[in-house]
Amino acid sequence: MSLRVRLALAIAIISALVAGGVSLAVYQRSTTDRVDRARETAARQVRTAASIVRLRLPGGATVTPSGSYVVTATGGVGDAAIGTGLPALLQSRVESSPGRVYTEPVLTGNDPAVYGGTQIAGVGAVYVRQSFIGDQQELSALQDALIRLTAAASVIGAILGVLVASALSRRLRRSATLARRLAAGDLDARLHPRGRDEIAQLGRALDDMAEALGATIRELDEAAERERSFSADVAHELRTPITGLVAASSLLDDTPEAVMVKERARALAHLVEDLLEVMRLDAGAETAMTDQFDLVRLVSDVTRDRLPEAEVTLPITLRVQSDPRRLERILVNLLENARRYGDAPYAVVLDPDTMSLTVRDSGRGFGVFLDRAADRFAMAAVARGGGSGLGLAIAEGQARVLGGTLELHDDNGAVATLRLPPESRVAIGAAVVTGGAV
Amino acid sequence: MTESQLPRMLFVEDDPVIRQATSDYLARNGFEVIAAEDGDAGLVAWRESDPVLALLDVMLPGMDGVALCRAIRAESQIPVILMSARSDPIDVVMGLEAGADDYVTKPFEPAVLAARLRAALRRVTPTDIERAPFEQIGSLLLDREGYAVTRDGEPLALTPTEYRLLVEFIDNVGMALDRAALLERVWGYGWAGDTRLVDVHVQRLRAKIEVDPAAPELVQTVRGVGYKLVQPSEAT
Repeated sequence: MSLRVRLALAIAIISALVAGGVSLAVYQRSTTDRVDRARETAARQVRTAASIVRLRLPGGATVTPSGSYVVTATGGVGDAAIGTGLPALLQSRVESSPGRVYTEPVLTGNDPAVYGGTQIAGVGAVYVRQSFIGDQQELSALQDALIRLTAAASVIGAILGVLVASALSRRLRRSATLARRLAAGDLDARLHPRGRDEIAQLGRALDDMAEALGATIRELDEAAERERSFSADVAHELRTPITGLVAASSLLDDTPEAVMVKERARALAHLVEDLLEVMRLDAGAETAMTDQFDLVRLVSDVTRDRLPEAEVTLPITLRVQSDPRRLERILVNLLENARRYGDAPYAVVLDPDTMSLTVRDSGRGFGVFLDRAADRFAMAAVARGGGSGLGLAIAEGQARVLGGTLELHDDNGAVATLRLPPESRVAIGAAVVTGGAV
Repeated sequence: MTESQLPRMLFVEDDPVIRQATSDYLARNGFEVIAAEDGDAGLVAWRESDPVLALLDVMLPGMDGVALCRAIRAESQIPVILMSARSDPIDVVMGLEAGADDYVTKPFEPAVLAARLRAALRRVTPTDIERAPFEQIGSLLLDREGYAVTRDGEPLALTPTEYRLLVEFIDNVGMALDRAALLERVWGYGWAGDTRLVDVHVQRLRAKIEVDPAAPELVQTVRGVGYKLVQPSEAT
C-alpha cells in the first residue's frame, strides 16, 4: 500500500473516530437532559396531583386494586390503566417512604414514559405518567443528524487526507525522481526544496548528496579522461619512433648485423602494440563492432593462412553476429601460439552447437603457464621464440569483449577453447568433417 | 624503364625519420615519392606535382591530414591513404568521411605499406576486361574499357575505390555481398580489415549514383548481411 493511501486512510479513520465520539457524547448528554427534565415534570405533576387528591377526597378519585390513587399525566384523575405500566421499583420506594416524591423513567418499548409517585398518608399512593414519546422522537432525530455528521466528517477527513497525503507524497516522489535522475547520470539535477519540515530537510540532504556525488564523479571523469588521453599520447609517442626505426631498418642490406637489428625492431614494434592492446583491454575501452558473417569461412581462411597443416573440423556454414576482426585476432593468436610452442599434429574444431572454437596441439601443453595465468609474460618466460608472450592474455581479453570466454587446459598437448555466447549464432549449416584447411 | 613511368605519389609526414626512411623505401620499391613535411607544404606539392596517389599522416602541424584529404578530394579522384598513430577510432571515421580510400596505422611494415599502396593503384587499372565491355544498370552505364561510369549520359566522377566497389556490385547484381567479401575483393584485406571502410564507401557511392541517396534504389542494404545491387525492373 502506498504512503498516500495509508495516510489518507489514517486521516479518514481519525476523523470518523473523533466525529463519532463527539456525536456519542452529545447524544448521551441530550438524553440525560431530557430524562432529567421529564423527571422534574413528573415530580411537579405528582405534587399537583397529590394536592388535587387531598382536596377532592374522598369523592372523584378512583381507588386502584392496589389501593393507590392514580392521576394521569394530563392532569385528569382516575385513569386506572396506568397501573399496569408502573415500575415495581418505583412502587416499592413510594410505598415504603410516605410523603416523598419519586420518579422513574421507563424508556424501553413502544411507549416510553417517566413515572412519578408519592404516598399520601391515610389515602394511598398517587402516580403520574409523563409520556416520553415526543422526546424520544426528537432524540432519534438528533441521533440521525449525528450519524450523518459523523459520516460527513469521515468523508471530508478522507478527502483532506488524500489532499494532504498527495502533497506529501508528491514532494517525496520528487525526491525519488531526483534520486533516479542522479542514478541515470544527470548530475545537475537538484530539488531546491522550500519550507522547513522533514521532507524539505530530506530534499536539502539529497541536494547536498547530489552536489558531493557530482563533484566526485566529475573528478573521476576528469581523471579517466586524463588517463585516456595519456594512454593515447603514450601510444602516439611510442609509435612514432618505432615506425621510424622499422622503416629505417628496412633500408639496411641484409647483413647478419642488419638482420638482427631488423628482427629486434620488428619484435619491439609487436611488443609495444601488444602492450597497448592489453592496456586498452584492461581499461575496458574496447567495444565490439559486430557484423553478420560466416565464421566457417573466417576459421578456414585464417587457418589456411597461419597453420595450414592443422586438421580442421567445420560445419558447412555458421553465420554469426560478432566482431570478425577480434575473432581473427583471437584465432591468429591461438594458432601462432600452437605453432610456436606446440607440436604437430594440430587440430582446429568449430562446434556450432556449443559455439566453441578449439585449437589443440600435441606439444607439452600450457603446463606452468596454467598455474601462472596471472603472469602475463609467463609464456615468454617458458619458451622464448619470438612474440611478446602476451598473445593468450590478448586472446582472453578479446574473448571477453565478444561476450565469450577463453579456456586453457592440457590434454596430451595444449587445448585452448574459445566459447562464444549462444546468441551470437545466426544460422548453422550441416556439420561435416573436412580433411584439412589446404 | 624510365623514372617517369613510375607512379608518382605524394607523401606528407612530419616526423623526419619516418619521412626520410619511408620515402627511401618506397622509392626503392617502385614509386616516385614527393615528400612534404606539413599539410600546407603538402597542398602546394600536390598542386605542383600532380601525383596519382596520396599518403597522408593524420596528425600534422598546421593543416592536418584529414583537412588535406578533404582539400584534395574536392578537386581530384586520386586514391588517398591516411596514416594514423592514434588508436582513437574517431580519427579513422573522420578520415574516411573526408574521402580517404584506406588507412594504415603506425607502426607499419614498409613492405605492407607498399602492398596497400599498390592495391589502391590496382583499383585504377582493372583486369577483368574479359567481361562484357558495357553494362547497363537502370540509368547507369558502365564502360569497362573506358573505365568510366555515366548516369543518363552524364559522366560520374568516381574514385578508383568507388569504381571498384560499383564493378563488384555489378558483377554480382542481385546478390547480397557481406562486408568481409567486399573488403577482400575491393581492398584486398583478409579478416583483419575494418568493415567501416565498406560502410563509408557505400555511402559515398550512393551519394554519386543514387537519385535519392537517403532512399537508395540501386545499392540496397541487406539487413544483417551487407549490401546488394538491384537491377531496376524498368531500365530507362
